[in-house]
Amino acid sequence: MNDIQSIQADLTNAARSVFADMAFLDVAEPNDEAVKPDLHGPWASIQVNGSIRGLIVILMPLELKKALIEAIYAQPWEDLPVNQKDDGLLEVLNVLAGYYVSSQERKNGFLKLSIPSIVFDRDDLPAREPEVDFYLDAQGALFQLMFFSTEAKE
Amino acid sequence: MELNHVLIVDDSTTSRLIIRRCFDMAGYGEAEYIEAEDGISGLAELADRQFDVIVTDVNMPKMDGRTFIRKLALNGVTQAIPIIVITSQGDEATAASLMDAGAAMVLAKPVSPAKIVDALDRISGNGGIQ
Repeated sequence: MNDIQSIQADLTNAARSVFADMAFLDVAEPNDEAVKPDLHGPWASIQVNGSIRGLIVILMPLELKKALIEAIYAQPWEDLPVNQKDDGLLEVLNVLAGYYVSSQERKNGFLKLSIPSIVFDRDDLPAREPEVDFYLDAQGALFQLMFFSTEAKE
Repeated sequence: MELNHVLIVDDSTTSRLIIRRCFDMAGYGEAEYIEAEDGISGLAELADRQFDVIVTDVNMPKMDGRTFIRKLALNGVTQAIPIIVITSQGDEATAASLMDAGAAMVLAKPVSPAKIVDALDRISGNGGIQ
């Protein structure tokens, strides 16, 4: 398994664990006929620093954000202020990145995470193709994970 | 372990809510919970009140959890309060360094009521890394 495959596999496992633990949502590989949704922001990103440096970005449709945040807060989406919705999204990515880093550290040594931040639209992302870019299916809702490498592994 | 006053230090309102809910579900719903967004705010709360246990994140703005723990360990009043660290980076090396800094327990996120019960049991007894 090369670095790209390893990153995608570990991000997939991290997403499976975090969505199940935090919101009781099952995550699977999408089937070939799945239609890619409009993924309007805000999304979330977090920087990984260490021997593998890069930016993890999670993009998801509104319906999935609602499902995640309502499960975490046990309150209707409409009753929650915007800052709590954003904070919930950031915490999901923070925990997901923690899982990912734990897996990658076994292969690549110590890695450090930044504080996650909100991404308002695609203009806030690096202006190039990510090294890793794939979709997963959370009980019928597709979401996207990206990894932009910011430095080659030494 | 008897808990009357708990300080939760985490920059995420979501994480603070989850931690508090886990304490509730672990049987500590009657305790008073004070929340702080970072180590500086946490120290301010400690200047005014006494706590039975402190729960803190690591990766926070202004003052991170590691610095916060070190400051508590150097303070004669606060050094005896058990500190539970709840972090997204709960690997063994990080946990060991946080324990060296003064943490009583290090838990990986996401936290659960069972992890809280186990942590408090261990703190009452021998402590350890989960």
